[in-house]
Amino acid sequence: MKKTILFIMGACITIPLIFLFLWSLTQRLQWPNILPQQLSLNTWQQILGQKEFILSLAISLGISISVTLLAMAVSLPAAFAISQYAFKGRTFIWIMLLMPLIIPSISISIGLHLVYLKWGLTDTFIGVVLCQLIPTVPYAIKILTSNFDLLGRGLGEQAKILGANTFDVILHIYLPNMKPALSLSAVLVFIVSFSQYLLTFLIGGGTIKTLPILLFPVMQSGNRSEVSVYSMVFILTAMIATFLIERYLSGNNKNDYYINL
Amino acid sequence: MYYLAVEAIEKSYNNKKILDKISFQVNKGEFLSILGESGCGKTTLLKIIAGLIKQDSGKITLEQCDISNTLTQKRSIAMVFQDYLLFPHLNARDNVEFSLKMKGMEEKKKRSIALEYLELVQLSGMGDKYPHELSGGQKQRVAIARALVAEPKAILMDEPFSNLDTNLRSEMCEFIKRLQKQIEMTTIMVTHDRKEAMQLSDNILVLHDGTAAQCGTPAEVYKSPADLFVARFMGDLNLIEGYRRSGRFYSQIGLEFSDEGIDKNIIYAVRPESIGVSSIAAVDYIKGVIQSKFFMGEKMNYSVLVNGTPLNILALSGNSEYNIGQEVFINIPVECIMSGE
Repeated sequence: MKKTILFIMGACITIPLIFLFLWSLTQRLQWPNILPQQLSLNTWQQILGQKEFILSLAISLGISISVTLLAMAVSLPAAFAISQYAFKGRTFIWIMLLMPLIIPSISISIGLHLVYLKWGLTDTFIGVVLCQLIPTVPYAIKILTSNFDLLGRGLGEQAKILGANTFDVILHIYLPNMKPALSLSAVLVFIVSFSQYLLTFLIGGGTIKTLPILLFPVMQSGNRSEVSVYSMVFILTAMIATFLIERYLSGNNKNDYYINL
Repeated sequence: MYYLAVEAIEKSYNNKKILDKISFQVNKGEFLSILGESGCGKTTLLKIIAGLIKQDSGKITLEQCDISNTLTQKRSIAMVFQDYLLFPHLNARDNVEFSLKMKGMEEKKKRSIALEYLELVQLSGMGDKYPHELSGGQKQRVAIARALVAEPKAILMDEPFSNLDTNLRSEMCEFIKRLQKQIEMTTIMVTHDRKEAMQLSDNILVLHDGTAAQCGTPAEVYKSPADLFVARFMGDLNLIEGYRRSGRFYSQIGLEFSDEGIDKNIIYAVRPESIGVSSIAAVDYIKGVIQSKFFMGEKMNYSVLVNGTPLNILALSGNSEYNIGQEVFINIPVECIMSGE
């Protein structure tokens, strides 16, 4: 039963990917065939040869990496404070931090656009990076806070008794025990940022061309082969980023351990 | 001068007073147990001494230095928590080394000190084991080694035996007592188990509803309790109701003795093991009938009906055994009678 479920789940993921890959290599596909009659690397060569495509990929990666680093830098201390300290207004701050998950991006982006216009942040790389923190930070804070809650205050208190200050507690006790949560939130932030269209479009104003900005018009053109190449690049980039984050943030700890609850 | 002194500590949560002017003193190398029911503020008091909770008022001095407002990490007081709180990502040796690492000690030196302390707690060769690979007793030993390696001025222990099974608990009790005497470490332990407290402590502080009910040696607290709560908390009791008239106490069960003071109704208390029981009548013995009996291993627990009042009596199992319904004679030594008010 378990194997059957795993097989079905695996098939649901791999079959569309196989078709996507085949379509990206399709030179000729005539109805009613579902498999292409002629395969070639023409579309791949054509798209990868476009300067605009390479530039948008580089911009996308630059924005997503910056957003991931900034989101983690903001979320980690915020999650630590919310989980470990009792202070006035804690619940209010918690709700405000999670608000972007409830409020649609379009509602935020209109107001944000006006503010950014005043500050001269529209159509800039920094402007796009900052606006992408809005839909990403709540995910990171939610995951990290849950993990801090799970670890509890005890380990931190014990470390303080043994001579650690708050910075040492975070660095030597919480971070090593939070690698899986850190990796999960970083992956999530990266993927949400990498696939962000609306906020990038409104704040970037078409000047900052990320991969999704380039992909949407291509999708409307109806060229299946071209769309498939874009999609494959999109998926591969996200997969490589996930692998790298998992590899370097989660580490490869052979000594598996458990938190005593 | 006392080594560690706690003066008039007060703490309230949501307008509810948890600790009310708690004061006590500990000498260097002394083992003090803070004994009390669950929720009486024992752990809060311990955390205040450690600096993990800020007191509302009061003062803590260690070696004549006021540490009331000193940061936890600067107090030089170690603490072993109820659930040990070993760092799960570090092995036993790295756990023990942690405080040395915080002091910035060089790698080679801290490794040799950590191994030395692991040897002290009889865990040589276990340094590479991770917390999840250790048993409850081993975890506790690592936690103790980790606390001691920092060379604290005092060590605090919060219910250290509560997660251990009965046999291991007794073994660890002996181990801690031996270790504490060996290194002459000033120790304060919080517990709700009076047997543990009496076995380990030089002095016992009994807490009741956030106040210090009594502080004294185990014998003092057991034999001369300050009030009925302390008396009941330290062991089972029989209450003997009666009245005092013209310098003599008279009770319903027939117990009489000289008792100076104003004439009034009065309650006295006596511990079950202080009452003697015999099948042979003698002077000052009171007649009773065995109502029930329970075998408790080394002791027998009898319930004896004496002039309509049931008395709980503990007798050694090896001595004569009495049957239910048998007529017996009991003796209550006057020196074992405590105030029950």
